[in-house]
Amino acid sequence: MTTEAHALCDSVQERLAEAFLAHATPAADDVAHAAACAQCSAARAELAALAAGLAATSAPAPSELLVQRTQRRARAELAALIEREQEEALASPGGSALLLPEGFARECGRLLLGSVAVLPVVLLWNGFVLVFAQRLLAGVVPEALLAVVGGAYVACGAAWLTFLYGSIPFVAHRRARRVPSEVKR
Amino acid sequence: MRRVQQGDGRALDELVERHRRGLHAFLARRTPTPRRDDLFQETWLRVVRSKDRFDPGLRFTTWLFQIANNLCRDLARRSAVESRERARAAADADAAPRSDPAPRVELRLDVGRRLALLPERLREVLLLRYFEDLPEREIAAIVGVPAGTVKSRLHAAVRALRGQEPDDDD
Repeated sequence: MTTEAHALCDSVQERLAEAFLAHATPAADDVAHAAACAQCSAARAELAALAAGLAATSAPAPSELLVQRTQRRARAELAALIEREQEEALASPGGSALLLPEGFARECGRLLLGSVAVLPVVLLWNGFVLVFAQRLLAGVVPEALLAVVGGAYVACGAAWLTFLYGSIPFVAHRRARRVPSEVKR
Repeated sequence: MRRVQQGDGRALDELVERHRRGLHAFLARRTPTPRRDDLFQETWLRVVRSKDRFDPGLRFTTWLFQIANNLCRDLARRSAVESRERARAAADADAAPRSDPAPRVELRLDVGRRLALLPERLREVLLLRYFEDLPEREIAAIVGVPAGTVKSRLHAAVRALRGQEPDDDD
C-alpha cells in the first residue's frame, strides 16, 4: 500500500470513528471507500460491533429510595447552609443591609400601591360614619361626650392605619424570601 | 439553579429529578463499584455546598458532570483495590494476542470489559461523548483539558476499544 493510500485510509477511519462517537451515519464517500478497502471495511465492522456492544452495556436506573433519600439530604444541607449564611450576615458589620432579599423593593411597592389605592374609600367611609353618627346622636348624647367618642373613633382608625402601613415592610420581606417550609414527605 | 442559590428546596428537588437518570448512568459506567449510589448522593451535596460558585454562563449539566467526574477521580485515586484489579485485568488482556482484529461476536462480549480497562483519562471522555452526547468543548470544560486533547483522547479510546494501541500522547 502506498503512503497516499495509507493516509487516505487513516483519514477515512478517523471519520468513521467520529461518526461512531456521534451515533451518526458515516459519509457516503467513506462507506464507498470502506466497501472497496479491506482494512477500512474491517474497521467499519469493528466499530459497528463496538456500537452494538456498548448499547448492550447496561446502566441501572437509580432506585426511588435513593432519589428520595438524596433529595431529603440535599434539602436539609441547603436549609442548614442558608441558615448559616443568614447568621453570618447578621453577625457581620452592616449585616442588616444584607437581610433584604431580592424582590423586597418590588413587594413593598406592590403592597403600598394596593393599600394607598383603597385609602380614599376607607377615609370617605369613615367620614360618612362619623357624620352620620353625629347627626344621629346629636340630640341624644351630650356634645362633649360625642366629641370624645368621635375623637376615640378617629384615634382607633389612625392606629389601625398605622399598624397596617407599618406591617408592609415585614410582609414584603416574607413574600420576597418565599422560602418553602420543610415539609416532611 | 438561581432558585436553589436563594434556598428553594423544591427547585433542588426538581433538579435532582431531572438529572437522576443521566447522572446515575454516568456514575455507573464511570465507576462500576457499589459506591455509585454514595457518589450520586455526594454529587448533589457538593452541588449544594458550592451553589454560589455556579457560573450562570455554564450549562448546569456541564457543571454537574464536572463535580461528578471530579468525585470519581478522587475515588479512583483513593481506591487501591480498584487499581490492583485493573492491573490484574490488564495483565490478562495483555496476554491475549492483539495483532489480529477481534471477530465481531468476541468483540461484543468483550466491550464491557475493555471499557472498564480503559485508562481513566480515556474512559471519562468516551463516556461523556458517547453516552451523554456532550460536545467536545463541554467535555473539555468538565475534565479540564483543551478541546484538542479531548478529541485525541476520544480517538485513542476508540482505538483501545478496538483492541489497538491507544497511542495518545497525553
